[in-house]
Amino acid sequence: MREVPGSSAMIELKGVDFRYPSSGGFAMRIDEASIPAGDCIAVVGPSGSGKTTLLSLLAGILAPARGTVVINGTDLCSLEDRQRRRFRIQHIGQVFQAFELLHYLTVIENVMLPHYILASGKDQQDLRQRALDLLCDVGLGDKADSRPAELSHGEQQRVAVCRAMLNQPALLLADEPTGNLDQDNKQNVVDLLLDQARRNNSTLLMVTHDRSLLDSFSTVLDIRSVVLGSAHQGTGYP
Amino acid sequence: MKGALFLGWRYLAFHKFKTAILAASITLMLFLPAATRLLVNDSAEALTSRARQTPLVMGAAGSPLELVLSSLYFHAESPPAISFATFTELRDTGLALAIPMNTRFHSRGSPIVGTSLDYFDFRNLELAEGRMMGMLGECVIGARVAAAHSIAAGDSLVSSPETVFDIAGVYPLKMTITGVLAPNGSADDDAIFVDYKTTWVIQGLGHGHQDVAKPGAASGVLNRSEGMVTANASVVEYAEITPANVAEFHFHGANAEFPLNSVIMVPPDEKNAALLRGRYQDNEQGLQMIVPTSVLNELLDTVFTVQNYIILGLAILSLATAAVITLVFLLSQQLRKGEFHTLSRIGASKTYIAMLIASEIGFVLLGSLVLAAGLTVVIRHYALQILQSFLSL
Repeated sequence: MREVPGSSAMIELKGVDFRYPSSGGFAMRIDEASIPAGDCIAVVGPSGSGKTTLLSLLAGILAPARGTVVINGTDLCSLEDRQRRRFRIQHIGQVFQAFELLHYLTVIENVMLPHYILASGKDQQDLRQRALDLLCDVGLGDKADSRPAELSHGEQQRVAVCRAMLNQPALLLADEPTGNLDQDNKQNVVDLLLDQARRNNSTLLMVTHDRSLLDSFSTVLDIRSVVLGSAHQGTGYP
Repeated sequence: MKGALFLGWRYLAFHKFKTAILAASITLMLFLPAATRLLVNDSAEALTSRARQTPLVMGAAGSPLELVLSSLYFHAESPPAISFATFTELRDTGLALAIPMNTRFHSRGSPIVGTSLDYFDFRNLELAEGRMMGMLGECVIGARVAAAHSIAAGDSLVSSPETVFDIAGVYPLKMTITGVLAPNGSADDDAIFVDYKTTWVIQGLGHGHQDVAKPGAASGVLNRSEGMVTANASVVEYAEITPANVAEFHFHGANAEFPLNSVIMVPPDEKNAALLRGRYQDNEQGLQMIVPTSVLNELLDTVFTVQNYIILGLAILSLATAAVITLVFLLSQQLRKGEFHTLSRIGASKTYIAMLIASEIGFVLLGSLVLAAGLTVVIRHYALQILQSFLSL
């Protein structure tokens, strides 16, 4: 794993050039971008502008053709696939729009899912206790043994936030986590993400289309200000 | 690895019904051919072990298989009769121990086996209670007969008429049980043993009635001439042989002509066996001397051929079932694409997801294997009882 010396930012992108391999796929270029640790940022932009692609690049799910993606001092592009996955589980928490909880696991088992994917070496009982503490924090302590199907949408998204926070990640990425929620639950989930990020001193990047939520964030980042060119393949960058 | 196993287990545990159907299908795929082979092999062994203990059987010419089933397992229709004279002739050769067998009659669905006391020594049968039959009309019963009808020494059994309308032929004879045999796991457990002469009484060849010479029977006597008394139906005929009336029982006709089904021959050595077989090889008196193992081996050849066809059929069925299971499984994986995508996005590798799927398959296969093995052990344990209850071997 390559550590980038003297890097104080949580996220640093340099000369990133990415395009989906399929013909007609989306392509994106970022010359330089940097986000300091501990920031809570709302990412906005029109549909198709590359918000989800950006989050996938930051999570190491996608790898750029050129350039560097440095997260918390580690250059993801220098890592093998296996190392990138390990890094993702250990340092990055993700919350998805559709919650994506496993229906056959209980609530607490869903929170512990990152541990089942990558045995962290931590004591199982300690992790369970941490998962339970997280659930209690979000008011779901009494539903630890329920199944996701027994919860409301708002509750399911709270479980998804707990899952993302299990490993106390340095970076928390949320891709339209409020897209499937009503207005009350939207604000609750945003408050929860911000609260968890602050408690953990994590950097939060949340993609949203909902302008009513932007006031809660310290910074609002319009993706068009970062991405130099984004276009569907074939048309080229502007 | 541990995490993939855990998730696989949780998936199966959540989908209990689907898992149970999958496991049951695979269990049957594994168990049915194994059980078929086991039962056929065990029944073959049970059949041949009794045949191996019975060196030679003499009977009337006809179906050798019928003769074996009748003489060894008290099954099948009675083969054509041979005369008692044949038995005495065989006995008098001195080449082998000759044991008479007459298995034509039944009582309460169990075969009545008319034989001599030599039979019990030959089969190593021991009494669990009571004593051996010592008099005409007495019987000794097998362990399962005693258990099935809750009867013991001192009780009695009545022979069944051969047909409901058999008024003139076989009379029911009330037989006193003198002993119960210890179970020995063979057809003997299901039989009622009497002296072969008792079967002649059942057949009506011998009977007992009020002494027509005594004054009490005078009203029944129609005519007395030298050596001949003619009586009417008012003379009392006995349906049970007791110490008080046993002297009144007698046989009409020449004993030498009385019937037996077969004679079991137990030669002391191979030489005597060969001599006996040679003597009756090309018999022109309508008799045959058979070696039960040879007869049963021919039968078993057919049984094993049928077994192979059954197993082939089961194998084809198993292949079809396996194809359906694979299809169900692949469709299930298709439906779970979203779940695998989530796992991948969180950090699971393709290897991890493959391990998750493999663990689910492994758990189902292992469970099925354990179930099939358990069922096979149970079948193995109870095979003899199952076979005995179906085949009365």
